[in-house]
Amino acid sequence: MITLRGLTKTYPGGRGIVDVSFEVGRGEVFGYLGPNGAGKSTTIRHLMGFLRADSGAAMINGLDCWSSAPKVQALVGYLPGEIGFPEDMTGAELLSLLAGMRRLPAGSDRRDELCSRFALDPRGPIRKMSKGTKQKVALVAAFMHTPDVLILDEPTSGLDPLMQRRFLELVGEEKRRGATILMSSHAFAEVERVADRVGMLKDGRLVAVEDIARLRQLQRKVFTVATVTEEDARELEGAGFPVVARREREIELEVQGDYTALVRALARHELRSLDVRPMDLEQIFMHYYGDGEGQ
Amino acid sequence: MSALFSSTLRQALRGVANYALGMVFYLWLFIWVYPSFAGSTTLNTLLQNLPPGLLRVLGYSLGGTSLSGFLAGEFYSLVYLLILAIYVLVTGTRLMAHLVDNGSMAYLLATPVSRRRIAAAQALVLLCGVVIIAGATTAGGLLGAHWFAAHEHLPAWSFVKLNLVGMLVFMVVASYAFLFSALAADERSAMGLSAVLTLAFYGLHVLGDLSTRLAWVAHLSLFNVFNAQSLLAGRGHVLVDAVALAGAALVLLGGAVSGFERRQLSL
Repeated sequence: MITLRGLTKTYPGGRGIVDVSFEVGRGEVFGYLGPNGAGKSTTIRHLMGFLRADSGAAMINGLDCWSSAPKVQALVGYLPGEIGFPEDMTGAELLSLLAGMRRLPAGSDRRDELCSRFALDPRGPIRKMSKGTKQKVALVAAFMHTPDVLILDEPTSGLDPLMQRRFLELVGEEKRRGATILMSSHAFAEVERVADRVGMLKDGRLVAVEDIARLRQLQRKVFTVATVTEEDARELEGAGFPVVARREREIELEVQGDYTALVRALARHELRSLDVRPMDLEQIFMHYYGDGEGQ
Repeated sequence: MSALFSSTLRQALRGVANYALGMVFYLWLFIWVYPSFAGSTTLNTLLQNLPPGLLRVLGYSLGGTSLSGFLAGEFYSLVYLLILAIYVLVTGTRLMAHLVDNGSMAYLLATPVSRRRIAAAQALVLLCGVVIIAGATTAGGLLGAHWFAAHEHLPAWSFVKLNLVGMLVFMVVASYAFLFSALAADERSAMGLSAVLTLAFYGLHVLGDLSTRLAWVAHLSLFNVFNAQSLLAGRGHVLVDAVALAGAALVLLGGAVSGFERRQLSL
């Protein structure tokens, strides 16, 4: 549905993106990760037809995003990263304007439903709205026409944790509906719950693309074991599991799959407590791609 | 496009109404003070002693003794130019460069409406404002002359033609302001370019009037077409000028729209 092929753009200052290629299939959620300034927004500007590539192509549903921009935009819901609004309108006026430009029937139920879902009253003037409220207006504008493709640039910035959760639920629903979603973020944790795949951009280059399912397979668990004696802890250290950390009578072990062996090893000792947590997917991701040079 | 046009027009109308009201208010003020001005012998003696070049700049070649001459000299040579220039420069810059600068253009461009139609809708709003202000000035002037200076003669048809040419001149100013607004890197440079060009035109116009040796430089000025004295006296090639001005406006707007279509935008 979304195709980038060798997309390259150099800004006069020397920054930009170099040879970025990936595809996002129909109904797939793609997390587009990278630190600020890595080129995420530049990539998205190409998909929205705001910029023309120096070389390579950005396509949505087989249409070139620059030369067929209006046709592409009919399919797309877009959430800009930088929230610049026309200040002298109310939120409701802006939504009506955008609905009119999309030729949506007046007073659509979907818009009202989204507003109530995000607890948004759009009637106030936009210039008096808080950053979070503006972000909600932008979210409604992006989702209100039930688009086939959603391009979301840093969608959760400015939202409180409750609204972030509602947003992720909405993304999940849209995905089940069959929407193709590209969402950028500088934080792995934001996208890992909903994304099928993640791509990592660094200094304008795509350094990794990975399935979240595969990362989950690689995901180990870290057991924190507190023993009664220091000797028990020492013995567990030699039990054959990778040791994450060791403090006097406490030891952290990394386990993948072989839980029976762990239980057997633990049964030989007296324990004060036992804790378990999954390793961060981000840690696994970064571990695999080291400094971002790829494998 | 119609949704964008009507929404932007609705927003712009309050500003346009203010400019139109201000214009009519000033015009009425000038018409209202005219009788006391015409009756002042001191002022007339003073004017007779001024050098002819300076009088031309002030717009008194028709003589300060008729309402037409007074309005041409006092109102249409400065206040009228100033109010319309401020309207087109401020609004022209707001309608494009401001939206690109603050990023809100992204919302409009993210809809299936093409850039060409978006730019055309915004340009149309700007021109509608010029038409409304010029129309209000024409109607206000005719009514004001009737109400406040009934015994003075204001040649109605020439007054309409004067305002028609004025409107078309400012459609050209609006068009280059819009061109800069659609293509300049940011709002400030768009406004700067429009303002500098407009001031240059005005400066050339004044300079050409000031001295007969420099009369030729006035031909470089857009405002040269808008000679209120001779238009009110019924002179000048109104039709030719009108066609030329409308053509220039169309060319400039066409350039603005097609330039904006090709422009790279970091929104």
